[in-house]
Amino acid sequence: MRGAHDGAPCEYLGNVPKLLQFPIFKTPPTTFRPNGLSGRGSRSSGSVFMTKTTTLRRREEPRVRPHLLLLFVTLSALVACDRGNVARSAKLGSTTSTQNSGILDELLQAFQTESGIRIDVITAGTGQALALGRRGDVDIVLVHARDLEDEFVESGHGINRQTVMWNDFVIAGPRGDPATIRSAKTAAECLKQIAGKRHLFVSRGDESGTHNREKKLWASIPMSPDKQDWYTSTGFGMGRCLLYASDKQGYVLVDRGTWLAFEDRTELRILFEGDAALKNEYGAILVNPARHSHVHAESARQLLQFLVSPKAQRLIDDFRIRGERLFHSAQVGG
Amino acid sequence: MTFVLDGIQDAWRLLVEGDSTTLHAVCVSLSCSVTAVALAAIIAIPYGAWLGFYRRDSRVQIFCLRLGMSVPTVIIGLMVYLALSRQGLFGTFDLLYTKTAIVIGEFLLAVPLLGTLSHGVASSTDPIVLETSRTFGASRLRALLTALGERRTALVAAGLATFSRCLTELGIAVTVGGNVQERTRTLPGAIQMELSRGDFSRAIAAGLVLVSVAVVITMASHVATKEKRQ
Repeated sequence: MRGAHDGAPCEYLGNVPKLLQFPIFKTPPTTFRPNGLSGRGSRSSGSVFMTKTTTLRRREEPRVRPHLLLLFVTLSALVACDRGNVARSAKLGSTTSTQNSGILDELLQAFQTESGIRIDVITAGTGQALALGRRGDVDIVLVHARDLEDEFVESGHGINRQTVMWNDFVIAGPRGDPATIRSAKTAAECLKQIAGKRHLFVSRGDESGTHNREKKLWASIPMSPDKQDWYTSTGFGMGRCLLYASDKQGYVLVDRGTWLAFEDRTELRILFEGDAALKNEYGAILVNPARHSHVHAESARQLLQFLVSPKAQRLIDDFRIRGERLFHSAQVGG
Repeated sequence: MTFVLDGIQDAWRLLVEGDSTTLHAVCVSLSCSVTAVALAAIIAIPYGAWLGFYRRDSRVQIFCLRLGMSVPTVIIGLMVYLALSRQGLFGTFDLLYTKTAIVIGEFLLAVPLLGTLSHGVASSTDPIVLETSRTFGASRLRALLTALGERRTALVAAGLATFSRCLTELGIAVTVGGNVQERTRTLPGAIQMELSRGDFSRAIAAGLVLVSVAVVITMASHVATKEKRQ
């Protein structure tokens, strides 16, 4: 093939009438350089139209400005080089309530300054956080559902559970309190009255610690609200669930930390609090290194140690949102 | 309504002061989607073009590409999560909740999309370009690259469309990236996160940044693919 037009390109091309309409042939054959056709040793764009005719055609063709694209790629490559340079790290599976309130950021910042270990937080409901631990996808969990925690430890997935802090749940609802739960004596009684009035109750529905507590309360009545039309299972984190309840003017079980963080953005009021059944304990559990040999056991152990240390416990007691205390240290309160 | 105005005000302040969390989210978003699209381009553009130029009658392969394009991103996220999880097929590589995981997910999102778009570009190209190059002695691959070179404007547009798709991806980034602050939190993930903790000003700030990045990219593509006519 190549031999044919190396020698006499013009005659050869002239024999292909269909191609004659192509603009390349409007220029004198003398400008034609067959060597460029193979693409090697010619200019870099890889076009066969490397002759003077190319210049003619290029004015008509849409043009890509390579320098702009190059700039774009370079910038992106620069920002791609921002890999963290902290050598040691661990993954903490934690709950939305600790993260949303901001206490976790404060504790972990103090921990990183002290130990140089970076903690990556994977935020999930308690049930999901424990599932992550069971799969070995995190190194340590900080959750709040005692029954599930004990089961996690007993089944050999976790070791060394420690109570880190506690606060309590409250039941919030519309200002007018249509189900009159203000006068109730216990949390279970509140839910019974809400069910009796068939007033909207908004549930997390995500196997989180809050959701588990709520299920426990329903079970203690006992009743199962799942299929009722006044019962909404959202699947949201605590904050969004609270906002949902506020928008729909429903009742909701919420931990005090999230409540304080969201109080001024909701149209709800705390209508019931103070029942012993609403105490909310946060526990930290190490993922069992015997079961998952890859876990960052040492970093995780140091984090656990830090969380129950006097320094962290003081941070927990001193943590305030707009002057209100959110959490109680495990050591002092109880 | 005041919180919206407060939010916009705070957003402006965060941007002007160069808030590190927001900047990290920009970096993560850009680097992940650029890497994913670049890797996808290496495979998808030649493959799509090959189908468009040389396999015009192969309906099965193009159907598979389109099928891949129709897979919901949460499903991609779920599959990548299950594959990268410790007990998954590739668990030993410790890739879950890293930027690499996000890149893998977005790569899987980008390949069928870019492949389909390149196929469209190729099959709408006048085959005469291809025939000419072949006649001049170019190999099939060489001819294909030549013809693609003639359609670079359309290809850049296809690449940018894919890039925007990856940049704005939320499901994959959160599922396999874990939304870890300053590590794998992308801009959409940041908006999601700030919304869930009720920090509207930061959510609005992240939203404004995402919109600005999108606008800059659109403008760049508009300028880069500007048609020069005499």
